[in-house]
Amino acid sequence: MLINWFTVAAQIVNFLILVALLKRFLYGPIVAAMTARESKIAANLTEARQKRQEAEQTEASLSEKIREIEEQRQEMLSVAGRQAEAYKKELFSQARQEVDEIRNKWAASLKREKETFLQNLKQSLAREVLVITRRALREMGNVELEQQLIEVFLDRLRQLAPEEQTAIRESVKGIGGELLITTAFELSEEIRRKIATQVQSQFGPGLAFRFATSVELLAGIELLTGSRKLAWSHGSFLDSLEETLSQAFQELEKSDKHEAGTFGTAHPPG
Amino acid sequence: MEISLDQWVLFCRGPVLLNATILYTWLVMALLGLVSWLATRRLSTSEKISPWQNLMEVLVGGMREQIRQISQQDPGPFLPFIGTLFIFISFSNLLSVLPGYHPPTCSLSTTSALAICVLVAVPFYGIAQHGLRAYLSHYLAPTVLMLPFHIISELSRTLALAVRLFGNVMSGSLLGTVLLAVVPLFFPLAMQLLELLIGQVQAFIFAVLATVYIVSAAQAHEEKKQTLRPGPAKPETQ
Repeated sequence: MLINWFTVAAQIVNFLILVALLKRFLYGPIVAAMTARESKIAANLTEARQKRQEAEQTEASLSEKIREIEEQRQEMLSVAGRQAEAYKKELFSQARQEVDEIRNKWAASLKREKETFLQNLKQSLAREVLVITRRALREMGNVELEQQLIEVFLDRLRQLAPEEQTAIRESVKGIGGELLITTAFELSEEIRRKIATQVQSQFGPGLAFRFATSVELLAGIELLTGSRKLAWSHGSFLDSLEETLSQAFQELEKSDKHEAGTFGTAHPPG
Repeated sequence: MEISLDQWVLFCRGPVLLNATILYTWLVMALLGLVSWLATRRLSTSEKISPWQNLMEVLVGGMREQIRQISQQDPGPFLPFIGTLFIFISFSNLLSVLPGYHPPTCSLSTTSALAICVLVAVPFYGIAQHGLRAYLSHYLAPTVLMLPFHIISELSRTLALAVRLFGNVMSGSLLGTVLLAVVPLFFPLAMQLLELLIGQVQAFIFAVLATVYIVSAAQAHEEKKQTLRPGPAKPETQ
């Protein structure tokens, strides 16, 4: 007989005991733990999802803020750039203005100095030329030359225009008929008579003559009738030359001033 | 050579006796109880768990899932009975790798005892779910004439369960012994491995069939009540 009924009964009891044992020690705790763990994990997942959502919202708001800040930064940068550009331009124009002013001043002062120097140079040159000429003529001058000059003077007197002659005549009358004749050297009596004859024949008799000498004439003769003067001397040549030169200098100065003004208002390109 | 462990009697006084079947059953019970207690002594509900707890969770979770798939209902009430059937048979067969050990399931008394438990469990779960009257009316459906067939069906499938498990496990042990005598090297080892596999398969088959019987008894009433609701096909009796 393969079946022992007592053993069967005992095994049924054993099996039921095992069911109870495993239910107590295995299924109950394990199922409870699994359920708890599952619910915990589900709760964790839910929480994680929530936190993720929150984090996403935060991230969105933060990125929005970052974008705004970036925009503001760009705006500020562009404003600052524009201001800096404007400031730079202003500084540039100021600097250019200052440089222009300084250059103008410098140019003007240079011009002035140049003018002054040229002026002085011209004047001293002219003076030196005159001095040298005067000295040369004085050293060359002598009685023979004086005689020659007087001859020429008398010749010119004869060829004087009629209206000139009339004017001199009038002038001589105005001062009571006395004429002053100045020469560089002492005249001989003969020459004095010759001059007096010539003058009287031309401007009328009864004229009184006074003779004088002057080193200033260098060589030559000068006839003074109060307000009028007739001269034929090196000194008078030089005088008229000096007058001409000074007039020329004045004109030159005027034209230079005009040029300087033109230069001052002109602006270089750039 | 002994065919049944029952005949290996260690102690006898009147009708009460202690044979190897009962002794090995106690050994298996003690080991299972100890392992369960050790594994569930310090359970954790956090994300980090011990390997033992993990193993037990896999085992229990797997069984629950199997029961749920077969029964299409909450595995909670069935788990202690069907789970213990599976674990006991599986563990008994698994321990046969130990020398000197003989699985209690190779005793027809043990398999009969388990089959009788199933025989009792079927009406037990049926009555627990639907009530005594509703369950008993199942035997009279569709006509009273079917009552003997229903009873024969219950008894025959119980017998089939018992003999199938006994035959498979006992043949395994027997085959091992015979082969050891005929081909002493290597081949018995391969057969032993095959036997381990067969032992697990038998545990699975026993548990699945028990589930099917229990659930089909309950399902019949469900179908009568709600003819429209689709349920699992009634399994064939093996």
